[in-house]
Amino acid sequence: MSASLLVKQAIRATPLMASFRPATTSAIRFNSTSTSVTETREPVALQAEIVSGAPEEIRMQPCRIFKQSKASTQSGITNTGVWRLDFDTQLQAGRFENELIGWASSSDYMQALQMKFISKEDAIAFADKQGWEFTVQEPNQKIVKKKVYADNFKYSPKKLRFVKTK
Amino acid sequence: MSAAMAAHLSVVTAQSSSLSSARQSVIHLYRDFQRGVPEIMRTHQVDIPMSMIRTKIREEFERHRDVKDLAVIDILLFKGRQEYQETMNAWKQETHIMRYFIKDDAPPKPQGFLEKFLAGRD
Repeated sequence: MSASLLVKQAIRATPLMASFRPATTSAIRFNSTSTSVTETREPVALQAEIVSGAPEEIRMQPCRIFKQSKASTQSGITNTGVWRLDFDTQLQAGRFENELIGWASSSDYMQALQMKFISKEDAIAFADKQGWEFTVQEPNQKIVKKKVYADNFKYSPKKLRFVKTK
Repeated sequence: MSAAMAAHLSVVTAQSSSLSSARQSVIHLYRDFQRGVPEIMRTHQVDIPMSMIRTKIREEFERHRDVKDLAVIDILLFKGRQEYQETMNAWKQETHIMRYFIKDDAPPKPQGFLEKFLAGRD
């Protein structure tokens, strides 16, 4: 079952925000930083950060909620519809060479985690519920300027856009 | 494995109606753990002094001292009861008991460039 489905069961209809969290965490509490979400929300019914069994250090690893950008070399828009949650690559991630084979290994257990969500609110709710420190990166909206062939022949009191001498 | 064996030390999952009742359940669990320490030492034969085991139990309970959400407390109670049942019924082995102490005994992580370089780590 995808994470987004699980999150949808827990999500509320009220508008969501990042920074408020109830006083259920004991040691360290992080306010999730987001670039654009401004509304307040009620705390989720069950904060999974305490009972998930994940190590406490995971709360200090920042993660990013974003939408993959379209490949600029192509006009196709594959993979741009879903919201992703990804952990930033750590500088000191404990990378080492495997003793037996020599594989490039890492002690960062979140480096390969990629989650997909249908909506931004789902992703935010999930990250908030898990107690992760997240940032929301809004996708770049491409401004599509309408081009009409008839504009080449439009009347203009100023200098003409195109000078047709033929 | 009979059903009676599986049911030994099992309890009905807590659904606390109030913080005070949840607190009582937690204290009962804590007492059960502390009372069971001699049996843990006898059953699992771990080379850890009793005081350390008692301190570790206290530490685990103190970690979630400030939890106020009843649903979260109920889940933590369930997990605690599960741990208790598995420990006292010897479904866990010595290695599982030692896992509680692994962070205390771990060698210090290499710090500074040279130590990390010699350890072959990032």
